[in-house]
Amino acid sequence: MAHALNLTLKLKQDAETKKKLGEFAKSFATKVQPLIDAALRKSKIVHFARVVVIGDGEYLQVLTEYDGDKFGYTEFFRQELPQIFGAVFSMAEGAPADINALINDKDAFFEFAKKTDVKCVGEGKENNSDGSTKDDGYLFSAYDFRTVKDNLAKINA
Amino acid sequence: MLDDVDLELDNIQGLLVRGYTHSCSCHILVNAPTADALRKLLAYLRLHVVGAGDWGDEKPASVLNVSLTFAGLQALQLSTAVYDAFPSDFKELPDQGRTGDFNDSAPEFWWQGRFKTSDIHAAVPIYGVDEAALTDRCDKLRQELSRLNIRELRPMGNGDALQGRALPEHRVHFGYRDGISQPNVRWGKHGAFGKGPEVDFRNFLIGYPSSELHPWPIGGIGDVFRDSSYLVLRWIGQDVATFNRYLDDNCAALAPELPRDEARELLAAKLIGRWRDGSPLVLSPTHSDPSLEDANDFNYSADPRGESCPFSAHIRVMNPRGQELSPHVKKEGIPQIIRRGMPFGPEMEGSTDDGRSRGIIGMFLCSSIRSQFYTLASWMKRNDFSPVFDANPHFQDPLANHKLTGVDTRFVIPRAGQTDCIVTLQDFTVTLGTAFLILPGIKTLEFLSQSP
Repeated sequence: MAHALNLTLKLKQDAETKKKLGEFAKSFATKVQPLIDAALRKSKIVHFARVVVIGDGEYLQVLTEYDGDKFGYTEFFRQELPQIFGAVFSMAEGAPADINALINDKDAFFEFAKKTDVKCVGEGKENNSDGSTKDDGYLFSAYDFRTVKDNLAKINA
Repeated sequence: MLDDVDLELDNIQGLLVRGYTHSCSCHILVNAPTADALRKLLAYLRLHVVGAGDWGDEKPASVLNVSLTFAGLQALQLSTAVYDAFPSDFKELPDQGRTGDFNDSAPEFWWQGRFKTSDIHAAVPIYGVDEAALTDRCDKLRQELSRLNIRELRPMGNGDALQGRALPEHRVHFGYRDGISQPNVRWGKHGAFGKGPEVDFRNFLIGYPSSELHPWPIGGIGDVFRDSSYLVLRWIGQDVATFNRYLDDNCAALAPELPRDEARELLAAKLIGRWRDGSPLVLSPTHSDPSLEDANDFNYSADPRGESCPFSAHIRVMNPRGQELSPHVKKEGIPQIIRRGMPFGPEMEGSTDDGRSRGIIGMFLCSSIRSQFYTLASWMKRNDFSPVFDANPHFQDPLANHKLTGVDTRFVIPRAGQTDCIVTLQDFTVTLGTAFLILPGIKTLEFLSQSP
């Protein structure tokens, strides 16, 4: 079944970052959303996706449900949306100073995404062809193991 | 355009560059009690390890290579900077979710329960031209292990180490000739030794970062580990009786017009993508062709409906040459991996199990476990890497574990001018053990054998 991504970034609280966050949020609908939308549709592996800012700009989360291997998923979006991830990671505490190096290195990008991905509570399902284990935490899907491609094939039939 | 780096072949362990043609092997797995003991072992092994330089006309009677797990590197008590430089997939134990190792293949059953994967510090693959040469080399190593009080981990039920024996004609237990589909690596200035599109050596070697490929570790630690490679050790059991019975039971559905033996061979070819003599189905769809038994320079662009070679056939899944890839994997491309391995256990024929253990000791070499080994394992487990599977991304490689939820165990065999033949897959293999190791460059081995 699908996997959850709970990318959770503790944001820097300096004035420059707060300004950056404000601009990011303000321009999200017109400048960021269309790019994310296009990439997500192209991938055919993401069920749902959203970005939330928590509190007074204390945290930013990228929350998605996706199919398949985590590395393949992460690598696709690193390659499709480098500027957006660069902008988001540059606001995060713990991100390396050289954000370009992070974005341009698939291992560095994967490791950072992995470090900031918060596990769901509970137990995941095992014995699943999608690669989940108990350690992944609980994620409910009304579609069991059905993927985006399964659902699109039915819808477009 | 691949550059012409002047690789120092003598600094690269031979196993990476050469497929050894020795007839028997032994994989000695060890757990060292102290850092000092492990360093002394590495110092001993450094004197005997074989590099990739030219052997000349005479093949050595035995060859030895050395690899370490992350636990082994930790046991050496190196600096934190070294440990931090490695990717998490090497540092962590093999992830059963990503390999599909559940049920009988679950890690809790690995190594016959005689030890845990986390106990392994080093694996020493040794090859011999014959039993005497192999035994001689192994005995000498075991004397050194005894002197250093290092425990050998022996996973066989009878207390033996992992021992391989070549079968006639380079075949494996399911009857196929093996070792054909290897990437044609361009080893820098030394060129490529095979046929087909050339592959950048950085897919297998650490320490030469380019703008496209910079496998970890990089930077200063990457320099220390230059000429190293990751080695995935996979101990796989093969159920020959079930496989033969499966061919018997299902061949008539595929080709009722053919004599039974021919139908069996056709089904065997459809599952793997090569006839058992090695000739690729896509080049010779109706019969084996000995002139093509070593063919490795072909693609599937002329077989868009899978009527020659089914989309889910093993070699087509492992390397869908020239086939369109799904958007989410297209930019990364087809993972390349070097395979080494040898069968273990006695041969058998027929479809009545004899209760003996047999299969293959596989070693998969790459510079990124995550983007190469794990990606291919995921493609086997679920064929979702190409638009040809968009209508149903749940089919599987015939050699995958089929007792998973969310899979479609049907194997579809398209036939020109006829309806598809559909057979239901069964489990033919079981994972008996997996370990992630690094095959260090020889200067790296020297560094690791010294006190910090």
